[in-house]
Amino acid sequence: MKKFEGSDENFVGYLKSGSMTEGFVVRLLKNTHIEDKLRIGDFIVIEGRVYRFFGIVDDLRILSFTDDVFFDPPESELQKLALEGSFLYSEAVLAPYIMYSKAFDTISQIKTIPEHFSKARLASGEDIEAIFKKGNKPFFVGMPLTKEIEVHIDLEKLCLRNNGIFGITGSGKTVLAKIIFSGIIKHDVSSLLIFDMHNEYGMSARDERGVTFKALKYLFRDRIKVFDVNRGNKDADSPIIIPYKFIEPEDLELLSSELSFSEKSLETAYIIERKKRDNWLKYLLNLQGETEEKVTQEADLLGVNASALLALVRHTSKLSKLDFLVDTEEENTIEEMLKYLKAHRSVIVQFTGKYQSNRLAYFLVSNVITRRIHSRYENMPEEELKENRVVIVIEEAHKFLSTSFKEKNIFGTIAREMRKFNVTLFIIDQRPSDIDTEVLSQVGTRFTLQLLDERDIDAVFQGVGGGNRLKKILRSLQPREVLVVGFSVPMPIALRVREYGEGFFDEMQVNKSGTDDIKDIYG
Amino acid sequence: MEHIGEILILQPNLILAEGKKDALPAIGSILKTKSSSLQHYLVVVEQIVDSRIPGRFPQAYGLPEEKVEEEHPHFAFLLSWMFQVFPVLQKRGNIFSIPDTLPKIHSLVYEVDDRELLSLYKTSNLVNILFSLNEASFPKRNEIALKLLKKIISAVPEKEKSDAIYEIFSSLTRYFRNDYYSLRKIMRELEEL
Repeated sequence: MKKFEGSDENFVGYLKSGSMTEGFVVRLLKNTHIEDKLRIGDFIVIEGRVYRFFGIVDDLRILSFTDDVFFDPPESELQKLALEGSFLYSEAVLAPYIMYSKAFDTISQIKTIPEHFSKARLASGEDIEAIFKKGNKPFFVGMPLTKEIEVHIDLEKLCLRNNGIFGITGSGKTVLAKIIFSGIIKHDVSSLLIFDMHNEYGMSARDERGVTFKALKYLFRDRIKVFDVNRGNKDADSPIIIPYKFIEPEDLELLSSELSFSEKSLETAYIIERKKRDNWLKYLLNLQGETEEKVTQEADLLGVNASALLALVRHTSKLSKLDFLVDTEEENTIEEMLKYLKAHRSVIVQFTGKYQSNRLAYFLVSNVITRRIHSRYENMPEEELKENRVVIVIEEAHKFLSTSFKEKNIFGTIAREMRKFNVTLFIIDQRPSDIDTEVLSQVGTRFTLQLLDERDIDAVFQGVGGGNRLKKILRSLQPREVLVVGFSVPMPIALRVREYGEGFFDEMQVNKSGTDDIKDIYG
Repeated sequence: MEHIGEILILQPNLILAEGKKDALPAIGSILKTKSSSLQHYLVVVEQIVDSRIPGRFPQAYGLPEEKVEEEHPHFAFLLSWMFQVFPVLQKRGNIFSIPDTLPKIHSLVYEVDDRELLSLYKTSNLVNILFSLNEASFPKRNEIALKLLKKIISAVPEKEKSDAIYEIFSSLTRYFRNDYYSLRKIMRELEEL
């Protein structure tokens, strides 16, 4: 490994005090102009005697040695300059995360602290590379906030656990997701099953300004299959057909707000399912054209309340308008998807045409398909499982994973248990506070972009060591900046997300043959 | 170079040299002895004009100065023109240090010119030593230092002046860590130059 020492221009100050719990306090040199040189989230290296300590700027403060300065303030710029560094000074507080053994070239969590007057410097490119390029499948996702240095994330590690991208609308969630998914596909780390509610991951997508960008299918034509609930989508490889028999009352429970469902209606649905088995939905939808008298007769036969059945029939009428729901015995869609996933291809499920941003279709299809896929993976032989890793991507994840629904749909189960079956979730959401805390605790790596609501910020960092420090960094983020925390990064890092443009597209298409070689990208 | 005085009294905390009538060195000036082995640098801290005859008390003439000299020329011979100095540096070979010896009695002292003053400021600890003196035993320290600093700044070429002032200000902040108001007073006076 290269020996790296910070250049003089990176030298910012000395360690003044510190503790494992409170962080390290660096007295900044008088020529370290904070505004130009430092900001919350920056990487700082403390050169200890034995170890090199890596921390993130958690707080910046300007101080005065005495308040007398403000009773008789300096009158000229020269006087002010002279007072800087003595009567007026500044400090940076660092949250220390990892230490690097200079002798053994190893990285570990912080277990000790450096001595007084240890030199503090801005991390160099070599420092950052040494920390973030250690994994098997490193992938460049962004640059530190004030540096032009490529930061890599270990995709192999990333896909071992559930992950989440959180951020408000316009913060850059989709761009970041496309970048990460491109990396996963290009390096064949896992198959992706993306439920693409807003049609942003297929062939192309439009941003808020109306500019069209290439999306995943365009970049990886042979490695992605697009399915669509809308049969009219010519860009899709296959339409989605969901047989009635795939729908279970639990799906209706998830859709209760979209179908204006009451608890009584749900009980009625479960009774019908018990009596009619796989045909329960077909039976229910067939009642829609019937008279009230006929429905009442059926209620008597089923032993359910007539008005409850009438309400259920009324509430489920929206389902009959979903033309991908078909009375058929064929299971082609799921079989086809499984075939692609097993062949290390990725699948994007789109909702175009009249289904664009249709929550009813989105929640229903993603729940039903995922349940089927889950069931197949659960019963897959161990040897086969090893070869078939799947990352399931869901948007508006809070809907599936809220405290009230997480037990009743498949995503809650996957979040908790499916890691052992090589199936993990990648959730994309703008309301993390609505996601159940137990589910959030299962999210291995959190990519958090700009969040404004305090409840959302609290939720993202609940249970994360040093969460309060990280919240400060998060509050300072601009759109397209992300704080990455968790399993796949050795320490939290705030990044500017890399450009998603022609340069990126070219890089992703370097080896169209599929013989990806990391050296091609990383030199 | 002509000497400006001669050391006549060497006592603890008191070194006096006799100068010439109406040509005493200014307070804050740096003087030096000339010796090949050990050279002393001294700062002028006081000017004294006193009677040579013990117990003699001068009388007032009530005349303008020029008239007094013209009509009573003898009075000048009855007075001694003295100045008090304080040793701030010594130089052995090329090494400057805090003085650990006193200059010899009857040493002649010479005024340090602007060029040498600047060189002393840059290469020795002159200002540091001056400010490290205890103000209790050297009450006029700040006043003397201010005068010396003014001399130093005046000696600096015009284009280097603001850098020099900045440097001096920066070092002053260390000495006046616990006395911000004195610092401000000195800063104000120096910046007026």
